Amino acid sequence: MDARRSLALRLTIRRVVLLVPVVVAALVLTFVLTRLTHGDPLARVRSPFMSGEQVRALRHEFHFDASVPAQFGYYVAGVVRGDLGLSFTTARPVREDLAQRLPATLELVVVGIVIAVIVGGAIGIATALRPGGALDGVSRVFVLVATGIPVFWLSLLLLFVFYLKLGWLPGPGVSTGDLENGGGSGGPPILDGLLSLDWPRTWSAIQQVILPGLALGLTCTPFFARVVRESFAAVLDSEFIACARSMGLSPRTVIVRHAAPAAAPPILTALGTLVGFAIGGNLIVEIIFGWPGIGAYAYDAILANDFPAIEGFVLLVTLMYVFVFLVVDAAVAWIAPTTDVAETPQ
Amino acid sequence: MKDISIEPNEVPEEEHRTELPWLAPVSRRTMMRYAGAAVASSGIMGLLEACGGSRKGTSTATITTTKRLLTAGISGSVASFDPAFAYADHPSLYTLLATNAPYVKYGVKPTTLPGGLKAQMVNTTKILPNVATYKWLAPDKLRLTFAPGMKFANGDPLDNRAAYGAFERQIGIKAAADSLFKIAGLTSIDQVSVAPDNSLDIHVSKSSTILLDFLAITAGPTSPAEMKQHATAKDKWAADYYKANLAAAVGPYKLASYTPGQSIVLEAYEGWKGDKPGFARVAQRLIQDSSQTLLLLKRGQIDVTDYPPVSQLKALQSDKNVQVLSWPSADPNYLYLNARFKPFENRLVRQAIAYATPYDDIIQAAYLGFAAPLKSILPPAFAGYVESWTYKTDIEKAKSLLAQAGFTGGEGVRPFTITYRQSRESDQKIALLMQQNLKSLGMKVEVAARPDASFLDQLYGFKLEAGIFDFPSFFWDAYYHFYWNLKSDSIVNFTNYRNDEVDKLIDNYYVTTETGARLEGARRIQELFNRDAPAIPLGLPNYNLVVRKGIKNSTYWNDANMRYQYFAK
Repeated sequence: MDARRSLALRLTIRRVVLLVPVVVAALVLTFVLTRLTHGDPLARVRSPFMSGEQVRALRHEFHFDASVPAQFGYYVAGVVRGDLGLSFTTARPVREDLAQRLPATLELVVVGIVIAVIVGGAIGIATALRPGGALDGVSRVFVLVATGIPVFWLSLLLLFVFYLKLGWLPGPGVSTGDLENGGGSGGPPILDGLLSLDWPRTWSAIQQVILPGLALGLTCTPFFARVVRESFAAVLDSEFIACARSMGLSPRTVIVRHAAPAAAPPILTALGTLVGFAIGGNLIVEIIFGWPGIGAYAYDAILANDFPAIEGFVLLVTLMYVFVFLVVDAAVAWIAPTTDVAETPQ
Repeated sequence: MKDISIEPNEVPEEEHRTELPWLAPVSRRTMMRYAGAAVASSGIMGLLEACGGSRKGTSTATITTTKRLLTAGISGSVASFDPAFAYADHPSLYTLLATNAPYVKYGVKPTTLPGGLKAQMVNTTKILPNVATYKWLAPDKLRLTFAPGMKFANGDPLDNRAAYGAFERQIGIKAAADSLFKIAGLTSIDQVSVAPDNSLDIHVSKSSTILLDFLAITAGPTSPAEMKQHATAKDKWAADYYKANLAAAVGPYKLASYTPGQSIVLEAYEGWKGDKPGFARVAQRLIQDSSQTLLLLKRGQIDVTDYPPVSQLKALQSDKNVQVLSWPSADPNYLYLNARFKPFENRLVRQAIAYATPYDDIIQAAYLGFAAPLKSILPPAFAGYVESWTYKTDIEKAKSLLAQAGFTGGEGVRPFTITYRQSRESDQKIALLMQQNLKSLGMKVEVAARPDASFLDQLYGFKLEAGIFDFPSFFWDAYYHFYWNLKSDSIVNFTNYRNDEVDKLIDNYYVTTETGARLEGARRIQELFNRDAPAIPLGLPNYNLVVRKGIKNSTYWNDANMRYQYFAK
């Protein structure tokens, strides 16, 4: 137990230390890349009616009249103070925008990941238990097909079938019920509903998340199913499992007590990758379903050359990504202390 | 409001599972049982699909709006709520048009659209009282009078003194309204004075009624008391505050809620003295993707949307639950040829391009028939319009002009790029059609799509050599349109056109009471535009609005923006 704690602690410290260069690299890269794009970031807010003096004042306000290194200095100083700047697309502080939209993204990511873990996990384990069987064949076909389906197409298909044709589930955007009650809350709809003990609203929010959650979850499923299958198959093929079976342990004990912990590290790492992908990569799902999360926000920001919003989004996603892997590494160290987490592929 | 009855799914009271069946060996019998269950599930799914239509009444997906609620699908996000600077994004503009009524307003007149659809359109020759009544005391002196007891939506009194404060900001902040007021001869707040009977007098330096038009197309008064609360030493006009906050103003609606990126909900303002709006509430869904708008429209979750993709209009026309209203518009689309770049400094080359333009194909292939040919720099709705564009598609004539310019077979013409906005599907088709025809002249032409922000940045910076851009003047006046597009010192003279005669005519007749000379000047300017061809009039795309059946009083406004207060059910 002490070894586990010690390793987990060491890894946590290592990750926290690594956080600094990763965040700095993300800041520099994003800053440089945004400056390399076409166009004036102030185009959205600069009215053609503004006088030259007003435009100059606007440039000065956002430090666009300074040299690029100086701009970077202002930006870093702002980040250190917790000030991510003002978004040109919403005219609000980026920090407030992200804080308002992050819960909705997290809610969608949680639902998507839960679907991916349940479906992908079940497929992976079932196929690993009976390789070459009928279920394995069907699952392989499913995984193959699901891997080839682009997320935008799946999203549109789900909307077409379950919203437009069948009318079983709500369509994109804020729910009509919310609009009738004065507009969306802007917070995480399910959590908001639960906290306010508003059951109709909670139910409506649950319905609202099903389709985007499915789109995101099913997109993540093939990858997760493959990792689970390969991990379990490798473990089930190993000598210690054969030994456990030969000792007369029940299949359930063999799987739960022995195979699962041994197969867990790569699965947990894959889970971390999935969470990272889902947080930063669910942009298309958010756009198609009108989900008010940070992905849709980033999309608007990119189209409008909204530098502060793009930089804030990348910074947030980087931090979350690093945090997720910190947790994953600690969990792996806890479950399988002999695994060298530093060597785990990410 | 309509009651929403939702039955939650049954939740098992206790956990029945005590073992993990998927770990146990599966017998052939069990497999058959699972297979049978799968087949049965498929059957049930099929049955439910067949019954999909009958469930529509109870599904949350089909909760329809009540008579008291109008739901609009709007693309974009709020860049600024400040009436001085909000000019480009629909969410803030539409919100301002509903909550910050102008001092006076244009009338509307009934019209019948193709297909026999009844609708309305703006009548710019009729100016009506709105927040204030008006009276010309002299050709250069306008009096606005306010009804007693009026209040801004935050409760601040709206009287002549408050209106004076509002003018102070409009003039002082030096933005859109100030630019217009200057044209009308109102350059200083000293020309505005508080008068008896809750009135305000405005002295303009030029005799003309143009100020009244400008008052009809700019936002009305906002509360100066509120502005003072949020002003700082560095920001006298509280511009920072109003970027993200709607000013306390007066209009048929007031803001109920704003959730960035999701919705803006308005509710009828009880203190509004003008015509009562047709709906008690308006919910604007902020939508990023046009496919969402159409889905929501088809399912009855939005009542109205404008600017639908042209490619979807035919399909929408066949939907019995919606109406596609398509007005001949005043939104001319041009190919701007920037004379700063070769070969566009050469008039003969520009004329050759004008002859090479496939006008009919643009209307049919790019706009799918939802447009009209444009035969002048002006749209026909503008007073002073003359059908003056004499070019018709004639490739041989174009080749001959190019040869006259010294570029036989296109030899020696510098390659150039036609740029358009990524968001405009019709413009992409136009660019490709133009490319095809210009290539047949021997020109080397590329086409390039740019995100809107990037395109506008390049356009306003005069960095585009050839760009497709529409210029809908919200003041339907020939000289207003000439001023912005053709005046050599205009900030949006995207072609860098310079013609001293045109400049002089604009200076002489922009603000005048000499109606006859004004019209004659307009005719001459159109003639010169035809000769010089600094830009190619590509077409006049219709203004398209899609509404659910039952929504009445759809109106085409001079600025092609929706005003929710006019809709009714």
